[in-house]
Formats: sequence, structure tokens, C-alpha cells
Amino acid sequence: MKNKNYLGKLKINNCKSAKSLVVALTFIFFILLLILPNVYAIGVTPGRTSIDFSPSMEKEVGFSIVNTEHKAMNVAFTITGDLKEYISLSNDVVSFNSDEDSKEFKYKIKLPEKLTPGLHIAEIEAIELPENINDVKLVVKATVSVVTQVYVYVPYPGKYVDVSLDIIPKEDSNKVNFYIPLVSRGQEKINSAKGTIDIYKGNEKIDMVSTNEVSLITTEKKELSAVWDAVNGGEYTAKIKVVYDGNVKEVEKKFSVGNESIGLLGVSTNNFKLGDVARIRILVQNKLSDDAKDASASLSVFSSNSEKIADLKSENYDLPALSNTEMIVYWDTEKLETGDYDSELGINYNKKFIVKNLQIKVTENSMTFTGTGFAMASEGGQKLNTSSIYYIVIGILVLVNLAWLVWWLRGKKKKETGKNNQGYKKIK
Amino acid sequence: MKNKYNKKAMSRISKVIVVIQFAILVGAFCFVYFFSPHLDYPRNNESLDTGVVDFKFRNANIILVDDNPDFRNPMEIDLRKLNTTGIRFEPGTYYWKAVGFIESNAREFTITSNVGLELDEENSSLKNAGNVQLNVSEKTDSGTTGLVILDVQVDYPVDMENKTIYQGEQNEK
Repeated sequence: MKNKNYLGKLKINNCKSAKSLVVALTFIFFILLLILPNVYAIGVTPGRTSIDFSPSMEKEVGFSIVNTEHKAMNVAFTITGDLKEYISLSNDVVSFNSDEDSKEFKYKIKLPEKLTPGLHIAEIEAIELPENINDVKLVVKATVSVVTQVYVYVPYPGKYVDVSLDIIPKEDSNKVNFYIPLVSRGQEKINSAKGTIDIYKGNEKIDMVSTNEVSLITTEKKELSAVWDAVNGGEYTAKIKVVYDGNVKEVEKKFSVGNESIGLLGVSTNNFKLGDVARIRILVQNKLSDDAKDASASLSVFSSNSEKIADLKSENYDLPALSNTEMIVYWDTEKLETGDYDSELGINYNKKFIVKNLQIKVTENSMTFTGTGFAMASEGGQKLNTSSIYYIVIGILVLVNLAWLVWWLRGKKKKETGKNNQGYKKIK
Repeated sequence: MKNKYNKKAMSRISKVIVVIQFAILVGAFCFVYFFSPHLDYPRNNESLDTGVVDFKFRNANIILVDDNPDFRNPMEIDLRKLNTTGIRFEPGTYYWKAVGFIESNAREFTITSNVGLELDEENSSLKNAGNVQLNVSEKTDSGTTGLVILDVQVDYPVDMENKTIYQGEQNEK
């Protein structure tokens, strides 16, 4: 009997201690959850949807929320901006499982009869919440949110053009291409839009070039372009004046030509062994007549599925004027496997940045860098294309058939003349 | 007799012309099939979420890509040299064509913008994980303040204060 009681007490005690153990473990688990460093990550695509206004327009627009970290989480949506009242979303909060890459959603836009001319914006914000919380106000820790924007362009009365400017100096010559994209944001058609580009060296106007001429209907996008032959390399300012049906828009931008750049001469490694720290030598040429101070190189390496596997940076270098300098980047290849990798090599200098795409081939004993990804083509559209071949074939067939028709008509005419001659003979 | 001879000659010439036309047509189609570049992917007017485009085409090695349908300033990409078919692009609309013995017709594709933001508690840093430049703001109970304009794949140290939402949106472009 005594033994029985003892055993009973022991069982109760065991039960109690097991319960306290579970409670303690749960407590520790939650404490660990709070203490353990976490990564909050969320994505949305597209980042922006642009719409041309039409009165009382109704439209459904799709977007995707990306579960970047593949974790269980909640996502809360909020809508802000001056178009807020015209946008509706069926969900306020949605849940993601850890195995869900992304989810697609739709919002509905129901625009009013009238809006003031210009750009109107709404922002749909997706906020990452812990999986057990459904309200943004209850979030204690810091978190992240991303926004998909809705841009609604309402036409201006009359004629109106949005003007921007791209300046592309050619690396292999002193030619500079000016591209002026135009978007007609007015209610009326623009019959003629043309630009002039004044080139300034410092405060002195040194040259002027004119662009082509285009016409645009409402919401249409077209481009003006011009080429300038720069005499010398250096820093310049382009002041662009676009005249469209008597109205004027001006844009200004600085650019540099020819010599004022850093050239990449080569990338190499010596005595490489997979698993070691690779010493990558980047040979750059300062073509400037001034020193480039605090220049640095960065190398981002991507795996075959486009994941960034290395983000390397060099220390800062001073690149003496008109000379070559070797910049060094170190890469720990302990976890690297043999194979081909894409990479982006960037050189930072004087608040400018140049990027080259390189292919890296890694073997047990070598690391080779090949080719720049992009090279500007000197000319495009010189060769025949498929349509041209079809046109040529059709042309040949048309010519053959025409020749045949002419030949047949001539034959027929001869025949008829022969018949007539025969008839004449008979009468005679 | 002469008339009969003429008729025979006419019909023989007509036959020859028909055969020649047929031969030209077959030849043209064979030429186009075997020698003209054929574009498989990306399809015309396709929207792509990923920034890396895996071009698929035949009868060509070089492709021209431009953001202008006139191909005024195209990027010339020799995929043989790169030893890859995947090329990274910024968001936007692009036009592409392949160049082999002759040139293909141009096609259009769009890279959609992807806004992505990462907050790493361990390193107390924010990272632009998308494919567009981000305008990052800090939202607290006291309001919203602009924090930083963050380039793609760039980290930025933050204080990580509680009850703060770090908001990322596509920067003006």
C-alpha cells in the first residue's frame, strides 16, 4: 500500500515535471524566436503600372507578391495616394506558406469622369507581418514593405510634351548620340516637334546640332535624335530646346566625351587553386589628364540560376593620370565549384561608375575571365532580313509573270495579225 | 502547221515558266528555313519577371538588342563568345533580332520591374533585392521620412528600431 502511494506520487511528480518541462521549452522557444536574428524580405512585381486616363475607366490590374525568403508570413495591404479612393483590393491581409514562391493578386481601378491634368498616383503597399499577426499596429519589431505604384496620366488641354534626354558617347570615336524621347501628354495632336542642341564647354557655347522632326498623336511616344562630332574629349553640357507647334520645352544635361574615361585592359588571376583565396588582378587605364582619386573595383558573381554568389570589393586606389594601375580583389573560393559563372565588374571613380559583363570559367587550377558582354554595334540593320527575302521573291515572281504576260500578248497579237492577213488574201 | 507549232512552243514555255516559279518558291522557302535566323524565345510582346533573358534562336550567333524599334544604338551580343544564352537586362521594353547569314525580323519583350527589400537583423542592414533603384522610406508612429535611394543589390546600414517599417518603392525613372 505504501509502495502504491509512493508510485502514485512518483507518477504525479513525473507528470508535473513533464508539464513544466514542456512549458519551459515553449518559453525558451519563444524567447529564442525573439532573440534569434531574422531576415525580413518581400518583393512585388511590377513596381509600377502606367495607365493613360480615360473617363470612368474601369480596369483590373494584376501584381505578384514574392516570398523572397520562402517563409511562413502574413502580408497586409494598404492603399495610399491621391487615387486611393478609386482603387479597391479584395484582400486586406493574406497568408503565405514557406513553400509558396509568390502569389498573384488583382486590384480594381474605377476612375472618375474627370481628373485634373497631369500625373496622379496611387500606391499599394504590401507589409510583411509575422505569421501569427494580422494587424500592422500589433507589430513590435522592425519590418519591411514594398510598393506597387499606379501612375495615371491625364492629358493636358491643348498640346503638351514630356521630354527626357539620353546622351550616349561612342567609346571608339568622338561621336556623341543624343536621343530625346518625347511623350505626347496633351489632348491635341502635335504636328511638328523638333529640337536644337546647344553644346557648352564651361560657359561658352561651342557648337549646335539639330534633330529630326516628328509628329505625335495623344499618348504617342517618339524619339528625336542627333549626332555631334566632338573635336576634343572632355566635360560638356548639352542644352536642349524642343519646339513643338510653337511651344518650347528645355532640358539640360552634362556629359563627357572620349578621353575622359577609365578603360578596362584585362582581368586575370595567377597560381589559382580552387578552394584558396583567389587574387584577382584588374588592370585599368586612366585616360584622364587628371588623377582619379579613391577609385575602387567591385565584382559581383552570379550562379547559373542568376543568384549572386559573391560580392567582392577592392580597396580604394588613386589612379595616376594617363597611366595603368592594377586593382586587386580577393575571392575566397572555398565553397566554389568548377563551372562557368556570369559576373559584373564595376569600376567606381570620380562619382562615376562603369560596368563590364564578364564570363568566369573556374577549373581546379585556373580561373579565366572572358569577353565583355555588351559591345556597341557600329551599325545595325545592314543585312537582309526574312521580310526582304520574301519581298525579293515576290518581286522576281511578279517580273517573271509580267514578262510571260508580255510575251503571251505579243504572241496573240502576231497570231491575230496572221489571221487578218489570211482574210485579206481571201477577199483579194 | 505553223500555228500548231506555235501553240506547242507556247505551252512548252508556259510549263517551263511554271516550273521555274515553283523552283523559285521552293528555293526561297528552303533558304528562309535553313539560313534565315529563327527567333524562339522570348516571344513577341512577352513580359518577363526575371531580369535574365535566356535567348533561344537558330541559324544565327549574334543578336542585336535595343530599347528603340529602329535599332539606332543596339547592343551587339555574341553568345558564342559569352558561352551563355542568359543576358541580364534592366526593366524596360526591348527589341531584338538575330543576325546570321541574313537578319531576322525584330521582336519585342518587356522586363517588368521587381521591387524587393530585405532587412537583415543580424547585420542591421537593408538590401535592395529587386531589379530597380529603390526609394527607401522609414515609417514610424511619428510619420514617414525618406531614408535612402538604394541601387540594385546594395546594402545600407539601419538602426533597426522597433515599430519601424522600411518601405521600398521604385524610384523615379
